[in-house]
Amino acid sequence: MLFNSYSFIFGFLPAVLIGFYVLGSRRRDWALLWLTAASLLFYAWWRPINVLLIAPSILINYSLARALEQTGEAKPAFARTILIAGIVFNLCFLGYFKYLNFAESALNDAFGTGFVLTQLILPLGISFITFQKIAFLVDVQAGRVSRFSLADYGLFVLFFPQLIAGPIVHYREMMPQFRAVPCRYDPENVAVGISLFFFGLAKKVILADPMSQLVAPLYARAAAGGAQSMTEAWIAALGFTLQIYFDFSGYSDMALGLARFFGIKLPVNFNSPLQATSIIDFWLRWHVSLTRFLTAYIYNPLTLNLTRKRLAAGKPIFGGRNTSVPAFLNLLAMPTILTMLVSGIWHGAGYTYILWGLLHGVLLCINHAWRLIRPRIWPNAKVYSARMAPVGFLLTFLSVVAAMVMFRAPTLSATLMLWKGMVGAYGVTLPAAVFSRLGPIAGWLSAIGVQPAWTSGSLLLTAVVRIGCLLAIALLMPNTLRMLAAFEPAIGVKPDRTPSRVARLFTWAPDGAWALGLACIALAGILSLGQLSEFLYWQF
Amino acid sequence: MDNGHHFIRTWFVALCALAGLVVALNLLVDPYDVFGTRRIAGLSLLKPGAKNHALLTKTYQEARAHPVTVLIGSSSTHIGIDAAAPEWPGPMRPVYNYGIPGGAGVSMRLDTLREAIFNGPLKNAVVFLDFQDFFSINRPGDGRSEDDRRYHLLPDGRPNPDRALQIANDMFLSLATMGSLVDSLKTIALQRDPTLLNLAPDGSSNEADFSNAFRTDGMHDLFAQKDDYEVERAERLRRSMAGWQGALPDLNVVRAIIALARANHVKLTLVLTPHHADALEIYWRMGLWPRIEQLKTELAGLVAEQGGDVPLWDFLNYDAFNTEGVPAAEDRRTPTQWYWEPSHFKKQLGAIVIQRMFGTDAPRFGAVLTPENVGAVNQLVRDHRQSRVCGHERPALLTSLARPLPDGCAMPAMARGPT
Amino acid sequence: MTEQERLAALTQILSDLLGDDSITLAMDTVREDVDGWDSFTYINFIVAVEAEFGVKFRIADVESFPNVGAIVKAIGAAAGR
Repeated sequence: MLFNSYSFIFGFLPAVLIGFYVLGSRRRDWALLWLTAASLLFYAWWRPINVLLIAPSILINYSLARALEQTGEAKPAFARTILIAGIVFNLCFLGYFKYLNFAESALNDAFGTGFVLTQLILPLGISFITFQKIAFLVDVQAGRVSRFSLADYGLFVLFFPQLIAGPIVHYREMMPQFRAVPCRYDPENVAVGISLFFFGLAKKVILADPMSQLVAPLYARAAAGGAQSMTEAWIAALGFTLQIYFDFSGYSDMALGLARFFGIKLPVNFNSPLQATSIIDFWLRWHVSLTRFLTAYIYNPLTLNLTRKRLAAGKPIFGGRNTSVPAFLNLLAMPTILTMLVSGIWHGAGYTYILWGLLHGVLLCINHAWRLIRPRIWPNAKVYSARMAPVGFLLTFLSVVAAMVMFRAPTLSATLMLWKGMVGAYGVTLPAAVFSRLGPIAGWLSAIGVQPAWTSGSLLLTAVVRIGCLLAIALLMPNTLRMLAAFEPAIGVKPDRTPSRVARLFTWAPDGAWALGLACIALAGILSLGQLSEFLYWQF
Repeated sequence: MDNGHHFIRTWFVALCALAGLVVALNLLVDPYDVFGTRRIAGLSLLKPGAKNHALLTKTYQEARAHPVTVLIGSSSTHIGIDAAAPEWPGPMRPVYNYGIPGGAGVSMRLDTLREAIFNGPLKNAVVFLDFQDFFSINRPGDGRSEDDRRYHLLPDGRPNPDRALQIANDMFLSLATMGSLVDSLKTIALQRDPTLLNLAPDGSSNEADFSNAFRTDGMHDLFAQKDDYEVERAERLRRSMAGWQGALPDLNVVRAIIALARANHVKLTLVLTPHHADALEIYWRMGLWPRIEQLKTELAGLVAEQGGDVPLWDFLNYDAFNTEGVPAAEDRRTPTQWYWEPSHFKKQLGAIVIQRMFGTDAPRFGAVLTPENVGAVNQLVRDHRQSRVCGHERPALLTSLARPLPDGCAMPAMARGPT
Repeated sequence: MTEQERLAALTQILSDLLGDDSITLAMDTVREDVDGWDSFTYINFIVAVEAEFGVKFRIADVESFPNVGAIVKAIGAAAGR
C-alpha cells in the first residue's frame, strides 16, 4: 500500500488509528500488538506473498540476536561467528530480492511503465529492512541493545510508517519510545502528524509526480539514442533532481507525520540538501539516515581499523593539515569511495547506480582534500566561508544535478548523451513558436548558434515555470523540520535560536490560520491522488 | 493540548467544507460535460476542458443527444465536420459528432458505433476512415482500456460488467480531482475569450486551437510541423507493412461495422477521409501509394460483397481543394481556404463533403468506389497527381518536402501498380 | 591529567584536524555545534585522540558518545584501567 493512495488515506490509516487509540485506552501492549498486525497487513497489501518471506527472516534474525545476547562477551569468537552468519544471511536475502526485482524492472522498462515509485521506493522496502536488521545484530553484539522480546523486535522491523522507504532507524532510538509511548489520542501529536503528513503528500503528488511526467519522455529518448539539445538536457537533469528530491523528502515527511500519530518520533532524513554548500554538507542533509547508517556500520569501523593498523605499523596517520598523501589515500579516500560504492549498489542493481556511488565517493574525496589544503592557501576560515559559500553552493549543486542524470538514465550511454547535451554538444534549440515571438532577440540568438526546432513551446514554458517554482521552494523556503521545529518533528530537531524573518513567517503553530492552510494543502494533495486519463492531441 | 484539539477540528471542518465546495463547483460547471448540467451563459456555456478528455465527454454526450445520425471518426471528423451544418438534410437531423481526437484505429470506430446504436434511436451512421489506420500491423495490447470499460456492450454484444464501476470512477474523478477543479476554474475564467476551444453538446468542436496557432505561427509552421510528424508516421507504417502479404489487416473490422449497421437497420456511409496533398505526397514518396490503391480496391470489393448498399466515398485524390498552396514561412498573415494542416480539413471543406454525399449541386469532388470503377479511379488519381503536382510550375505547395525523406524512398514508386 | 587538560588537548586535536584555530570545546559540546565536524572527520578525531592518549575505544562506544564530555570521561576510564 502506498501512502499516496485513497485506500491508505481513507481506509487503512483511520481504521488503524481508531483501533490503536481505543485499544491503547485499555492496555498498551494490545495497542502495540495491533500496530504490529496492521503493519503486517500494510506490507501484505502490495503482495501477500511478501509476508511469507519476511516472517521467516524476522524469526531467523530474532533467534540470532537472542543467541548473540546470551553468548554475550563470554565467548567473543563465537559471537563474532553468529554475527557474520547473520550479516551474510541478510545480505543474501537482499541480493536475491534485488536480483529478482532487477529482472522485473527490466520488464517494466520494456513496457515503458518504469517509474521512480516502483523502481525506487517499493524495492527499497527490502533494502531498508535489511539494513535495519543488520544494524540490530551489530548493536546486540556490541552490547548496545539488551532486553528485547519477539514482539518488540517485530514492531521495530515492521512499524509501517518507516517500512518501505525509511528513514532507516536504530533499535536503540525506537524501542525506548515504544516502551514509553502512552498509546492514547494526543491532540498535539495528531495536529503535528496531520501537518507533516499532508505537507509530505503535497510535495509528492503536487510537486514531484507532475515533474516525473515531464522528464520521463526525455530520458526515454536519451535511452533510445536520441540526442538532446542543451535546453532539453538541462530540463531532464534539473527536472529529475527536483522530482526525486520532492518525491523522497515528501515520503519522509509523510513517514514522520504517520509515526507521530502514534506518538513516535523518527530521525531526520532530509534537511534542505539542495542548499548544501559542499558535497560533504550535501550528504549530511540528503537521506541523512542512510548516511548515518553507512558511516556507523561501514565507514567508521573500516577507518578505525585501518588507522590503528597504520599506527601500529609506525606509518604516519591522519594528521589534519599535515596529512601525508598516502595517509589521505589509505585512511580517507579508500574508505570513503568504498562506502559510497556500497551506497550505489544498495540503491539499485545496475552499473549506473554503482558509478553514481563511485562518482559521489570521488567528489567527497576532493572535498576532503580541499579541506586539508585550503588552510594553507587561505588561512582565514571565517572570511573563506563567507566569501566562498556561494561558489561552494554552485559547485555542489551542479555536481549533484549532473550525478542525478546517471541515477535516472537507464543506461550509461544515455547518461553520456545527456551530459554531452548539457554542455551543448548537440546544439542549443528553442521551439520555433518561442523563437518567432522573440523578435529582434531571435536574431542575436541565431548569431550565437541557437536554432529553432519543432518542439512544443507550451511544454517548454511549463517545464521552465515548474522547475523555477520547485527550485525556489527547495532553495529559499524553510523546510518542514524548521517550520515545525518547536514541536520536535523529528528526533533531536530544536527551534532556531535566532530565526530569520522568512523562517518566522513560516513557523507552524496549532492555530486557526495554519489549520485552514493545511486544510487547503491536504485537499490539494487528496484531489491530486487521481486523475482522469487524458489525451493531449495538440500541443504547440 | 487545547490548541491541538482546536487545530484538528478547524482543519477537519475546513477540509470537508472545501471538498464540498469543490465537488459542487465541478458539478455546476461540469467541465467535461459528463453530467449534462445545464450550460449557463458566462459560466459554463463553453467547455474548453473537454478537449483533452474527448472520449469521456463524447460517450456521455452521445447518450444524452439521441441523434438520428452519428458521425464516427478521428480528430479530422471531430474538427472538420459540423453536426449543425445547414448542409445536413432535414431527415438526417439531429446529428451527433462522435469523432474522437487521437482516436486511432478502425476498431475504435466499431466500438463507438456499437455504443451509438445501443443508445438509439439511430437511423444513419457516417464512418470516416483514415487510410493510415489500415497500415499498422502492430496492434496495441488486447487489454481493455478505461475507455472500453465505459461502453454499454462488450464487443460480442453482451452487457459490459465493468461499466457500473467505470461510470462511478468517471463521476468521482470528474468531481474530486485537481485536474477537474483546474478545468472548472479555467472554464469560468475563459468564457469571455472569443478564441476559446469549445465542445458543443452535439459533439462538434470549433477550430480555435488551429486558428490560434495560425494567428501566432502562421500557416507555414502549422503545415511544416505536421509534415514532420506525418513523415515519421509514414516511415513507421512503411516498416510495419514491409513484406505484408494478402488483404490489409483491419478489413475485417470494416466488415463487422457493415454487419452491425445492417443488423440494426442503420444506413451506413463509409468515407475515406480527405487529406491535403502534402500528406498524400509523403506517402507517395515513401512508396506507400500502392498500399493506398490496395486499400481502395479491397474496400470496394468488401462493400460489394456485403450487398453493395453501403456507399464508399473516396476523397483521397489530388483535387482543387487539397492542392491549395501553403503560404511561405515569412508570411504569417495569409490563411488557407480548405486545410488547417496536412491531415485536418477545415469546416468549409467539411460542408462541401456533406453536400457532396447527401445533398445536390455539390462540386464534382471525390467518388463512390465500386469494384467496377476502382481501377479507373486509381489511374485517374495518378493522372491528377501528374498534372497537379509534377507538371505544376511551382510544385512547392508542399512545404517540407524539399528536404530528403528517409533513405530508400527518395523518389516515387510510380511504376509499380497495386500489389 | 585533569579533565580540563584533556579537554584542552581534544580542542587542539580538533583544531588541527579542521584547520580552524577558533574552535573551543566544552564538556557539553556536541558534534553539531562545531562547523565542519561531520561524521567523516569524527573518526579521524577519535583515532587521533586514541594515539594521543594511548587508549583504545570500543567501536560501539565511539558510535554513542553523546558529547565531548563523554569522550573526556572515557579517556579517564581507559587510562585508569
